[in-house]
Amino acid sequence: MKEINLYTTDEASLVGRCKSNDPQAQQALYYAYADDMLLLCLRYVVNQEDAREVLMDAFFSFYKNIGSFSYNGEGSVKAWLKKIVVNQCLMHLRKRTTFAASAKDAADYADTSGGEEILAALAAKEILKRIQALPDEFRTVFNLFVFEGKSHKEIGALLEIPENTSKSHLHRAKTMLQKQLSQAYC
Amino acid sequence: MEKDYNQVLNEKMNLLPVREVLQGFDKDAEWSLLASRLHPVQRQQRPFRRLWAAAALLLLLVGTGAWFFSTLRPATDRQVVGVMAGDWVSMVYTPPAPTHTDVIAATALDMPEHQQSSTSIIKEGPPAPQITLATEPAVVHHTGEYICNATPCPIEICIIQKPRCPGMQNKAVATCSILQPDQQGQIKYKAIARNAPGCRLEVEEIRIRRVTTGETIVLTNHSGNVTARELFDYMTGNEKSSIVAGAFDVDCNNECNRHSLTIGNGMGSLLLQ
Repeated sequence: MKEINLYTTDEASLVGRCKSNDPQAQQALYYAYADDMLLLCLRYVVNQEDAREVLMDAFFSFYKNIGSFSYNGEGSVKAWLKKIVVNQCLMHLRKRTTFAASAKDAADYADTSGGEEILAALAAKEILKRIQALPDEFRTVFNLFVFEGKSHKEIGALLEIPENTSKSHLHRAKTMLQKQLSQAYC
Repeated sequence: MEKDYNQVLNEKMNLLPVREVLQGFDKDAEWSLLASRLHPVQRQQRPFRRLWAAAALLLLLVGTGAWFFSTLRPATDRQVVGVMAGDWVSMVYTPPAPTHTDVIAATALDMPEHQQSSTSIIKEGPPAPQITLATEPAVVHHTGEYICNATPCPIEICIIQKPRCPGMQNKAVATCSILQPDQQGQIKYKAIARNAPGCRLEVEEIRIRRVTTGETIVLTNHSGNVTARELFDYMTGNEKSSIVAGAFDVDCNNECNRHSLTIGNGMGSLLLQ
């Protein structure tokens, strides 16, 4: 497998060359970020085949729309690419999952924290497996809240669900995860 | 606290053994596929494509010609197959006779005494028919705490109460609510009207039904592990923490085998899970 060292090539100039549809620059960026982005896809999409397809579509979209991207320093490419990948994952999930559920006025869901010590003790691969085992709608809200740092309001807008439903899904995801992790740990 | 949990998870995910998790991911092959999408190569039109199109057209013409030939032949060459007028048999659709559905007893009080002594699970395929019970002038509608259905299945909760008023015919009254998954609603039940002194209202039965499967947990005040009164106290907030109402054998989405149902307010809000 070819390894392309991104650090020997200025990322800003790579972006510039990608805007001119330079295949070598495109390849360099692909090799730099494909692994991380595929791991991100696997958190949302679970199935490896589907995740690879979503990743392909995401990178395709990334290169096609790179003309509208302004390089803002280190990390800006990854951040923008991450947004595209997450959106692509959500589009894929929307085809097979209905996120909507009716909900009344906001209820204060008690904090389900605690369990950090279990998380710290378990292997990362084990945690990923447990996250992947969550139902689609819970896992999606969980990923958006915990890893993407979205608020329930933002999640509601993204998934077109009430804010309350987002809170409920997160609560249930955490409860399920905590239960599974406790069983795995014990 | 929330931040710690998220932080720990994020840090853990950064430690994922990438090569191990992405076994089977051939980056070179994937890049080739992507590159071919980004930079498609103009292919020469297959020379055989025109040939196939011509062959298909010819086949169509031959087929059409054969059909015309066969239909325009003199009548004597054809065998007449069909039904003459008057021979038609009318086909009348007769809907199946309606099957008799037993109406479930309105309350456990109608059940034989030996059946009142334990929590019962009623197994049934179709949803239970609507049960209308008598309404008493001494009782009024009452709404209490909000409960959230945190199970994946729609649930119906029926609270059946009986007023005990001197000199009045006391009939059971039922209040039912259906909660969809993730739906929150106020618990509805009955209370004694202000202008009915001397009356009291007792919880006789609580029925919790999985709407899609029809399976019902029935609790009375003679139930073994949990009585209707005890469950009612948790639902109305008189008792704190949580209680297991019962268990369903069949999950609405066929994912679990036996799923116990808990009602509780131990996590800060009243949840059905």
